[in-house]
Amino acid sequence: MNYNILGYSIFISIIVFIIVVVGKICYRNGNIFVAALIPDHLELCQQINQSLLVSYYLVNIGYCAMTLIGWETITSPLQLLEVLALKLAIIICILSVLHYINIFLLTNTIHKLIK
Amino acid sequence: METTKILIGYAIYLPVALFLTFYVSKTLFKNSKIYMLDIFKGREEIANATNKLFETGFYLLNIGFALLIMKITTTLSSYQHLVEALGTKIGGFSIYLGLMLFINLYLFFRGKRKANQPPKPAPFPPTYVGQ
Repeated sequence: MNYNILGYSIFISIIVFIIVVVGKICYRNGNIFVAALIPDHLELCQQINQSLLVSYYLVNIGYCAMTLIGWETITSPLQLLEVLALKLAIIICILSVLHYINIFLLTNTIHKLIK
Repeated sequence: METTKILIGYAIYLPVALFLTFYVSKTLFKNSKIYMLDIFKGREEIANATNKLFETGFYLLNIGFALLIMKITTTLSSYQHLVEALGTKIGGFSIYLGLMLFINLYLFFRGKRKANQPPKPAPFPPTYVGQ
C-alpha cells in the first residue's frame, strides 16, 4: 500500500471541498459589496463576481495541486495523519489570512461609500 | 504500543478542538449582528454579509491552527503522558481561541467607534498661485 497516493487523494478531496464551500459563501455574500461598488449595473456586477469566483477556484486549487510535490515519503498511517493535518493546516491558514485581508479592504471601501 | 496511544490522543483532541471552535464562533457571531448593524448604519444586507464573511474567516483561522498544532512530538510511554500531552494541547488551543475572541471583539468595537465618528472634512483642493 502506497500511503503517499492515499494521502494525496484524501488531501485533494478535503481541500477542494473546503475551497468550494468558502468560495460559495464569499460569492453569495460578495454580490452585495460588488453591487454597492458599481451601482446601477446589477448584471455587470454578477458577471464580475462570477469571474472572480472562477479565478479564485483556479488559483487556489492549482496552488494546492502544486504543493503535492513537496510531501515527504510516508511510511505509516500515523505519519499519514500527521502530514495530512499539517498540509491542510497550512492551506487553511493561508486562505483565512487572504479572507481577512479581503474583508478589511471591502469594509474600508464600503465605509467610504456609505459616508 | 506507542502508536496506539498517539492515535487515541488525536482521536480525542480533534473532536474537542472542533467542538470548541464551533461553540465559540456560534456564540460570537450570534451576538455580533447588533454591532454590525450599528457599524453599517442599519443596512441590514451589508451587515449580514459582513457577519457571515467574518464567521467563515474565524472558522478557517481556528480550524487551521487546530490542525497546525495537532502533531504530538513527545514520546508517550504511558497513559499518564498521554493525558498530560492532551492537556497541553487542549489548554493551548483554548487560550488561543480566547485571544482570537478578544481580537474579534476589538475589531467590532473599533469599527463601531470609527463608524460613530463624524466624517472628516474634505481637504482643501490644491490652489495654484500665480500664472
